[in-house]
Amino acid sequence: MIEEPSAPGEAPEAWELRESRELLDTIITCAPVGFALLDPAMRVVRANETLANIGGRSGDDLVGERAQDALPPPWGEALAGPFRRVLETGEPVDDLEIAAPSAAEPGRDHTWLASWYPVRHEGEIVAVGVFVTDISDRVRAERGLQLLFDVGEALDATLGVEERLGRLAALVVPTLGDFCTIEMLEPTGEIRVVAGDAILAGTAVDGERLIAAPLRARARDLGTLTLRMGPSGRTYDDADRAIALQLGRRAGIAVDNARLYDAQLRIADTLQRSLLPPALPEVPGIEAAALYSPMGDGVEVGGDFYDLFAAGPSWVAVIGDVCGKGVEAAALTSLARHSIRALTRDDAPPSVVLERLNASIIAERGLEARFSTVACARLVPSGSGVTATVSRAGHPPPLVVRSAGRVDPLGRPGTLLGPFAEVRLHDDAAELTPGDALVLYTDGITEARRDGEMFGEDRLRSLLRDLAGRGAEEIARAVERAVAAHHGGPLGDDLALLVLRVSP
Amino acid sequence: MAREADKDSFEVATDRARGVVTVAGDLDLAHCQDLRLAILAVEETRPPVLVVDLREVVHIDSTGLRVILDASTRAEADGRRVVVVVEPGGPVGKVLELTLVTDRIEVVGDPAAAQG
Repeated sequence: MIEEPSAPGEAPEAWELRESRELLDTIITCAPVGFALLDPAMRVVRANETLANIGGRSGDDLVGERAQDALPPPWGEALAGPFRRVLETGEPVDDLEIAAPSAAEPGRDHTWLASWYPVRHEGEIVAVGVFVTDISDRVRAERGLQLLFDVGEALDATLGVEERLGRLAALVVPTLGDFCTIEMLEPTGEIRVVAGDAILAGTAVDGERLIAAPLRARARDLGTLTLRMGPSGRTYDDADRAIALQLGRRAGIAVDNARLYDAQLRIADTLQRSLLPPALPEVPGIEAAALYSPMGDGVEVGGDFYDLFAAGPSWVAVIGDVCGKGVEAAALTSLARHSIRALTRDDAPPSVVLERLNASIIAERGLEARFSTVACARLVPSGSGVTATVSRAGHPPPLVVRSAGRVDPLGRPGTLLGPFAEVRLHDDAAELTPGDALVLYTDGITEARRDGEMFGEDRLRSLLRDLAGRGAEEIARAVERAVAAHHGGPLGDDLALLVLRVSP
Repeated sequence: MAREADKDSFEVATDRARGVVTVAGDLDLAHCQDLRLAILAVEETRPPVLVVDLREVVHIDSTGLRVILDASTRAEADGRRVVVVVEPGGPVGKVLELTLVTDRIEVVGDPAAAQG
């Protein structure tokens, strides 16, 4: 471009024109947007500094060069297509994204937004103007968000924690690195690679090409997420480090939750086992069988319990149900079961045992609405049979199944245990002759449902009538099958059943 | 009143002005929290008598019962009363009799008797 020498006495119009051309030059030169004017052979007529810097050059140097020579590959190719379209159609091409490097930041992926437009002189296209804007930061921010979103989904998947971490590692390559390795610090202190490749010793990498983000949850380091650049030659900046830290935090929470879940399972299992006798004892003259099924997936400890043990010359059978689920309910269940053993050392009738149990629950925990229902039976040999004395504290009545086929409930209602300091309890006895059975159960049996219809007490009694005279084990298994067949799906409540039959 | 025993049916309605909570359906682990919140909302007005109408409850389990006992304990501490309305011999009535909660909580069969 040729500068007119300033002439004294210049006409105001000419001065104005010169002023505006200088202004335009300034605008073009200083613009943060890359600009080039290309002639129909795609040679540079004019380029500003921002554009020239893409190739590490200066704007004036480029004049006369072909665009593909003035800029590093793949710029020439990326510009050429739309350039020809503008020449052919005379229409501008707006806002195409170009992924191409910049000499100013060789280690980073760059994305540009480019527009081409025709420059006409007397109707003829004499040049094509090109504007390119560096949108790398925005694109990277968007990719980072998308990555965090995808990783969030991967970590929420219902898979084992190591599979989820594996998915995370697969997702971040190549957006955030050429390699990704996740190592976990085991509770034993051992470090174990759970995803990606082990980072080989001796592969020296500088901080520009490596990020090690802690897997961190509740202020504890649970492992490391390592991202590494390799063949792509890219390097990391603060934005990458921020995303990596986020990923590490999320992965840490996933690991932490998985460990908490495992711990809960173990606690639940331990507690559950403490609620039941490991095996029913051998009782002379009596066959005993039990059925127990905790609800759900095993994480929630049930509130049902049963026990059978010797107390002096007699035997005590207990079944109970603590309101609610989980560790808190299990603690009360455990207290109830173990207290009853301690409270039956003398020959106290069941109502007295339950009254003492109520007092000890309140002494231990205070009055509370978390109550228990318990049925307690004392079995004393008498002649060829057994005298069964039953007391019920808010619990469904034990059923006496006569070998001849009659089924009768035993015991009057009594107050549930826990919320009230004073309880009203009774003792009711029945003579069991050989072949007769006493069946204690929790409401999980009668309340097992299908489509809202409960198994119910009537169905249980009618089933037991059909099972009259059978062995204890046979009765327990038949009830189990019938209840399972009735509810069909997973149980909504625990259920427990204890069958005591006088040996024929 | 005939009601379809639906597995997931539960409804609770509150009348804060009259101090009444009316429940229908299954009062169990899945729904006891809804009843608890409804009772707490009515308690804010500190009605001298809080009526919990359970005549249309088809099933109550231990967690549902616990919500009622909780409300009764709070009322006692606050010098108020809780009255439960049940159908005599109905599903809730049976459970209250089985557990002798009837010794401790005012249970009536007729809502008109509740406000007395």
